Amino acid sequence: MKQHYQLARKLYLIVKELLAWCLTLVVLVPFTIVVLNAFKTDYAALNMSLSLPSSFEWENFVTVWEIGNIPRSYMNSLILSVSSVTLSVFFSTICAFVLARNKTRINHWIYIYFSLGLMFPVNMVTVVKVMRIFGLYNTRLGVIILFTALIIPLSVFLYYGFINSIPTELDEAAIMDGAGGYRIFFSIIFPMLKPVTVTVIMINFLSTWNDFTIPLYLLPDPDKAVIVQQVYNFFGTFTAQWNLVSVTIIYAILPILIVYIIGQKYIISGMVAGAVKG
Amino acid sequence: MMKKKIYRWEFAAPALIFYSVFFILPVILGFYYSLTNWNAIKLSGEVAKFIGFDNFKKIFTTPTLTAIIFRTIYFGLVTTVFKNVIGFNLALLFNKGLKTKNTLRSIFFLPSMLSPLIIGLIFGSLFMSNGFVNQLLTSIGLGHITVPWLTTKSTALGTTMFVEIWRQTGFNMVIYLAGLQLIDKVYYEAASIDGASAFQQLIHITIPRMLPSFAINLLLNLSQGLKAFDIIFVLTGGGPAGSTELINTIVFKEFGKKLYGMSAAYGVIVFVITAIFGLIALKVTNKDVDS
Repeated sequence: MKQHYQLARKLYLIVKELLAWCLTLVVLVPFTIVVLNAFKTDYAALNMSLSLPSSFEWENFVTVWEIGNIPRSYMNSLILSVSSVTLSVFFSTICAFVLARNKTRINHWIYIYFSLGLMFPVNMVTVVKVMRIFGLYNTRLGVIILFTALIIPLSVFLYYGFINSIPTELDEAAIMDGAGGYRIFFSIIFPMLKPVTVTVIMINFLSTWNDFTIPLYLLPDPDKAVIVQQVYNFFGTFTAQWNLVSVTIIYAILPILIVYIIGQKYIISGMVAGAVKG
Repeated sequence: MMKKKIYRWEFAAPALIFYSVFFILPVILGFYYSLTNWNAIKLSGEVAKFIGFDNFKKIFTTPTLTAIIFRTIYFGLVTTVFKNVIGFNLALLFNKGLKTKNTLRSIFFLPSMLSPLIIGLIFGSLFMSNGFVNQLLTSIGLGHITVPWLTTKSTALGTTMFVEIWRQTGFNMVIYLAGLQLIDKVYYEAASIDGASAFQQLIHITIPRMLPSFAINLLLNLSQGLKAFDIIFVLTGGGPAGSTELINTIVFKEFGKKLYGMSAAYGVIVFVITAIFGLIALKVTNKDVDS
């Protein structure tokens, strides 16, 4: 009797697993179609069908790499993302450190003030105005600063929760040894924040790399176009050539995919820890 | 005294300044400019004249403009419901038992890591009149319902909502998985001993303990839905005949026409709606879990 039950249970789990994999088709098929059509001729890619390419047109990748300015767009995206992520990590850790350790009434309100940024929509019209006032319109620095400002709330939020879980005895011991604020932060606290830092870097890198709206409003200069903008412009120019559009999509997704594969464990666990416990 | 020296206030200053000047200040300025006729074409230079609530009056007395606001709310609500219901069920499915659950989770989480613009582009191709979706429908004998999904007025909005749901369901799943893992197994063991069925356990243990996760997802999805831009911009550009125009696409269009005052007014409307729904979401879900 018990054996029968176990067998049935095993079978049930196998069926459940198979069904789950069938569900993944909803996610995987769209990407498969893009990959398949990237290798086709423009005529064969007209319908974006799921059929295999009859010949592999590797030249598509070369063509897009050259006329799509892929290296330059990668560079532009990289400059914006890496700079704003670095700035925000530095500003947010040290800020969250003070807010979490010195819980005065003012600091509590400052924390709430930051949290508002998790929900507020950005007002792009007036952002452009402010950028013009500072002479930052159509400059990379302007976008970097804006990205930094926009990702600070989530970073502070995640760091704040984590720093709360680090015992203050560590600080006290360091104070006894005569360490000051800078010393405590840089040699004790910051190294301990590594797991959150990895998460913050991943999430912010992805969100800035993916962003299209801000460069669209703030960075009209085509020479400074980021990869996502480049894909969009390319789509406008080569509407009917889905094979080439597919190739640009692959170029745009590839870096993200690499970051995701390396960091998915941290991304998911960081989202989890920060979101529910915080 | 000690704290002053150790936890220096100036540590917090850079983050505070950047955030205040480049995020909060524009939001506040938006309130002011929404009350002006700031229009870069009409006026020489960029002079903005105070006109009170005229922009809002114009929006709320023009049916097509008011419709955009309701459509945005509708878009936000419908996508939120689907993302959560499907995301929650996926989380239950991938929580335990399956051998390949980690791989499955990563696959479903992947879309939310990609740019909405890229996803819009991919689905734009799948929903073309001769695209994959119609090929699929024809091959399973449903050829008579094929339409160019994104350029037909009756299907365009639904299709954009589908893409948005597809994009973000995995994100919701991950937040729910987190919530599920925080529930102490003792509750389930006790319930099993008392003879509670799986369904009863779901209703009486799982769902009540998931309220914090529901709250987070509700908040994030609503604010995301109300702010939707990239996906619409690339899928339909607000068309056909304005049937997918949402607040943020109209903000962009008014901005393009240099009607900054009007554009700012729409920005304020997004802000107010997001704030209202945010408060409701918090209120609804902010119950003490242990009671």
